[in-house]
Amino acid sequence: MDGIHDVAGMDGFGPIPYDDGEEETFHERWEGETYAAFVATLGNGFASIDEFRHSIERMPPQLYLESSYYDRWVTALTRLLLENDAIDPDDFAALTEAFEAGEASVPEREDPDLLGELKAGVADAYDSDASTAEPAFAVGDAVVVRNDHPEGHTRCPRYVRRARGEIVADRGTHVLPDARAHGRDEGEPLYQVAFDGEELWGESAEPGLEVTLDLWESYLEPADTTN
Amino acid sequence: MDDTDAFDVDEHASEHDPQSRARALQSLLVEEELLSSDAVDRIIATYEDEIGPLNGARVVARAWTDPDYREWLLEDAMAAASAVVDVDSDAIDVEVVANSADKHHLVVCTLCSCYPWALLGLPPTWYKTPEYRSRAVKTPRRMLREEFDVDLPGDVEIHVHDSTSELRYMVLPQRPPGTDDLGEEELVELVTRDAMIGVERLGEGA
Repeated sequence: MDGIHDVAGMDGFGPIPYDDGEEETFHERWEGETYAAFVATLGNGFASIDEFRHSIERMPPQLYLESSYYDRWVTALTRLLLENDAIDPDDFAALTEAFEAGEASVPEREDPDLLGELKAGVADAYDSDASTAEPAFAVGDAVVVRNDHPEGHTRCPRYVRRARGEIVADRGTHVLPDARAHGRDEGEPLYQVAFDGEELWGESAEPGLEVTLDLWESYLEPADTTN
Repeated sequence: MDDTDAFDVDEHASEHDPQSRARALQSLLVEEELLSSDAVDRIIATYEDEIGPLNGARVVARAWTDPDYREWLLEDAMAAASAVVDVDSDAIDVEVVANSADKHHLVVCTLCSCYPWALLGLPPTWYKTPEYRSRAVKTPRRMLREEFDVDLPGDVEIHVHDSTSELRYMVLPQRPPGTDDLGEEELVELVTRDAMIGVERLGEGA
């Protein structure tokens, strides 16, 4: 979807809040707890990685921009857990208010075997291998990215659509995120495609710039049919 | 789904702080036996103590000192990495791209925050911002100059990798000049996380 997450090439966001090399872990305990909730959501099979990404993308643009990174994760995970009936909305709303008022604490429950099971589930949620499909393109082929604007999830950002590029690597067959984000497992050939800076950004492009993306076959068409 | 129609997740998020919502979520997950207290502690500890840029630095230092290893790393990154550091080679697929005197590599994920976490740990905050993601593929030279104090010479080509699939990218920086006498352990200390993302340039042409 053409959402606010697809920011490549947008101007005006301003300076990068660079931390000058500071090591990054979690800034606050709740961020790590959110990561654990992510592991639980994917690890218990409530969502694939693509469904998770799409859940973030479904946030209204203003809320997306106003939310910090792990705040977006909380919102996205909540949506997925509610949609899967894993949690009850009334319980969640009541508990949120209780924590906000300082009147609740997280229950303690040990289960030493659980983490291993969750990790296996997360690996499944990320697994992008699919049965081999015959590739339509070969390294060296000129391709044009289709001008599609799907309402659902896609990993084809706006800034490469209609652009002409060259296949520089065949990645084999991978699950198509556009399908898996909506619960369907479909494999497709995946290619690394290289674009010249001027093709993407016009005459004012910086010199000597090449941008590569990994793009699925259905995002592409042969260049010679569209010239 | 009738229940969720009445509950607007986004509206609720805009009205309540993330810490309270995260703890409410965690409480329900623990109660439903979908998560446990020890799992939460171990997940946090793993990222605080075990997985970080040091893994990548060790791999880079080995590649600087052993040409055969360098070739293996560029060919099959996670298999080569798992020979040097304690990483699960099945956990994530990584391609390592090598900087040279006339080519500089830069890594970004314009759609979200994909990152070679098995080798570098959690992505830094700035990497995940729209500020970085919007500029890295369009004006990387200006961005490196203005934001990271890296003035890339005009004859050095820049190659930006937008991480759009489950394949992740890590930069193999050039070995800094004047380090011929250093051993692998000393070289590890010269490798920075930022050089492995590509917002810092080690070696000639910096």
